[in-house]
Amino acid sequence: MYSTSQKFKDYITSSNREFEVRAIIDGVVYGSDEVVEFTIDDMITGSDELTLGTVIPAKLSIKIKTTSSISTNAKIAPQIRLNGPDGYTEWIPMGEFCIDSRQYQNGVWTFNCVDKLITTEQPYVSNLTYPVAMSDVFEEILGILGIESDVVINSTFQMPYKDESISIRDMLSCIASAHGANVKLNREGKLIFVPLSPSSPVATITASNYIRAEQTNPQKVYTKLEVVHNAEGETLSRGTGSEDNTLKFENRFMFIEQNQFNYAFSVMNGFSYVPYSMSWTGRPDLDVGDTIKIVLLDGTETTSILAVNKISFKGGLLQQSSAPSKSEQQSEFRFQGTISKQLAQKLTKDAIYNGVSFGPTYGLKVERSDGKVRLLANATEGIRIQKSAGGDNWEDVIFLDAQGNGNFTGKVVSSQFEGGSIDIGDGQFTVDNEGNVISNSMTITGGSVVIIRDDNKVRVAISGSDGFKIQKGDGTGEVWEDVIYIDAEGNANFTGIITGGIIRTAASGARIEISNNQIKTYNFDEQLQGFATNNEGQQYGDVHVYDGDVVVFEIYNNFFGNGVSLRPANGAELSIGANEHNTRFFGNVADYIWHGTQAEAEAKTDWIDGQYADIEGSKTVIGDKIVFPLPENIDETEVDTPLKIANRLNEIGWLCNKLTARMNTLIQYMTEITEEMETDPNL
Amino acid sequence: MQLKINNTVVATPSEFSVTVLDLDNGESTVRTADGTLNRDRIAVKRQIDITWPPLKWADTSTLLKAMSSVFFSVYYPDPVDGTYTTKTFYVGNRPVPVAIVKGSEIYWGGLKVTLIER
Repeated sequence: MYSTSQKFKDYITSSNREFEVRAIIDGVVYGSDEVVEFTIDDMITGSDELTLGTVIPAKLSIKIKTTSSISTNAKIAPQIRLNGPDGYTEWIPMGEFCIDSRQYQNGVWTFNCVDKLITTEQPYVSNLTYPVAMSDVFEEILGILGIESDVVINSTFQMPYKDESISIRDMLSCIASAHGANVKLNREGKLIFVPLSPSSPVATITASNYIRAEQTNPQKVYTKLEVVHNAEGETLSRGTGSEDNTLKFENRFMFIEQNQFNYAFSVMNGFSYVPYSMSWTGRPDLDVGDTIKIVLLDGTETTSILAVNKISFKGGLLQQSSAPSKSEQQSEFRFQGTISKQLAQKLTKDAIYNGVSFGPTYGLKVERSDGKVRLLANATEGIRIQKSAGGDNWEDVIFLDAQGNGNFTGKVVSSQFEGGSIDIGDGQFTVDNEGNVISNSMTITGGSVVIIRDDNKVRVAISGSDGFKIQKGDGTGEVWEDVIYIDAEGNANFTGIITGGIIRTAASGARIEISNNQIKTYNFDEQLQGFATNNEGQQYGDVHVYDGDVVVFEIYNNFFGNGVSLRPANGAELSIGANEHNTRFFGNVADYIWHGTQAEAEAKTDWIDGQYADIEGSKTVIGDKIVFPLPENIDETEVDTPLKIANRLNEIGWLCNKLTARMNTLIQYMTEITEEMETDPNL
Repeated sequence: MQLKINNTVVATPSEFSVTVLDLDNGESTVRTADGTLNRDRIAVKRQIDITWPPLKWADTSTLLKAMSSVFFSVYYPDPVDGTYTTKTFYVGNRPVPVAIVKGSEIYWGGLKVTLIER
């Protein structure tokens, strides 16, 4: 309770009150002509039960009609005083608050503010060496927050280890609960402890003060203290009593520092209060945590605590106060801590549920009650979802490590992937971050693959129904014309040049093959048969005719403008013409009659029937008498038949032709001799 | 009786009535459980009801113009203070219901205002 003058005490309880208000904002005073109204909410419990170690900031909402500029996070300190027959009272400070948010409407600013305890919601980064005296921790926290305090910490208390994950709020909670208290800021902004301990009332509130007051539950008497000291909800207790007589709180250090627990129990043991709810004319000098006496209409006097308090000033003052509690029946629910409590209250018998716990090594653990699936989340390894067939053999099904890598053993279902690369099957299917795809094997069923050049001028389409197409387009993306089309039946259509290594009409057996600059024809026995080119060295330009892999004829390219030769090969015969079909030669024909000496002719053994020969020395000279021997089959004594005569005449004609040729040779010889003699007089 | 509105001496009214008003907080002025009325009085204010006789047009105009501001001072005899007092007032409706023509002069009659202290 804030200490006030007797005048204030007289005025505030009067049935005829006149208030004056002001707000000091960053040192500037805004008077009654500018402060429209304000409301202060303050409490030592945020739930329906008292506890230890709460750190709850008070809240102020104030409306001020001003045109002045009020800075961000400005400090607002509202004050009120009373006016009466004996003049004004002293100003009563209502606390110090910092602006959290603001609204402006019709020239009036509404500032929503909180006191400095809100700054405890930050990680506690300690530079101390643990274990350390609790007072050192407390001093370090005050230094971090920039808050003063006159609280004296029990000198025997220590903090056993450094908790890297604890917030300042939680550390303050542990320190306060070790002293059997809650944490508040007083009206000057100093940090104080509000212990829950038996004490005498500081104010009596009667029916002339309240508009409505009701007792909401039977009196609570705490004779037992229970602390939840770990994430699994395990507890320690001191004292005896039912659930309804048990004050419960959380403190992670108390399992180790049980002397603190004993001290807290000694502070709160026997603390009692009557749960109530009251609307009354108010006492702005009272603080949350103050013990008050309420005289009910029937004359019953109850002692309770100002646990939750709301003061509204709108020219006059109105106060809503209460001390909540669970009913005795509600108290039978087991206290399991902040998070586990909420989950436990939703439990259904025989249903699989999730158990949540926290630990310094594994972080957050959510485990199904049948022990088959669990989730682990921490900042050192990452997030794991694991399955187990039973026991403690856990296998990752999803693992997201702290570097951002994800490992999945199940199906990944997503509507969209963005960024990065894909590697499926350890390189079996990859897509790099530039869109290059490598697949060990790919089957596309019922669909098609279309690759379109950026300018819509070329595309490749592969379809199970249409086959393979390379098409050219007009750039619009709408009109496409096949340039290569291989349909589903294997028919290929090309509108351009075909350039390739080997073209063959069958993979094996009888076929024609085109490769390099060669054309070859094979029979069913994989033997060259019939037409083939011979471009060995890629330059011969011969044409071969094979018979069972053996060349039997070739059209031989003589090179250098010397024409070609028709050459039987490998002992094969060359026949020109066919029976009953005429064969003619055009132009000069030479070297088709065998030429040699008489001796060579006689030595020659491979004559064929009807072969002509030119025997050296058998040439006629001028003056020779040419004797035309008769054919052996002609009998000189017989008269030839007309046909034989005709044949003989033909032979004569042939000999005449030959004679003419010899004559021509002779004439040419003579001409050459004559020309040489004319040029060489020595001849 | 002298009456100044916005530092302008105005015509003498035919009716002049001062009401002393208590402004209470409506939420906290309540009867407590023992039946006692508890008042949180915010302030004590004045309300002045004034009626003028028919006035010349120029005087009427002067009078209405003196009350044209949102708030204006009024110098008047205060029955509580026992002396002439100056306070800040605002005005509600200003009906001037009767126009009287007398010769070439127009008179306005029935001008009635209610002044409420700021």
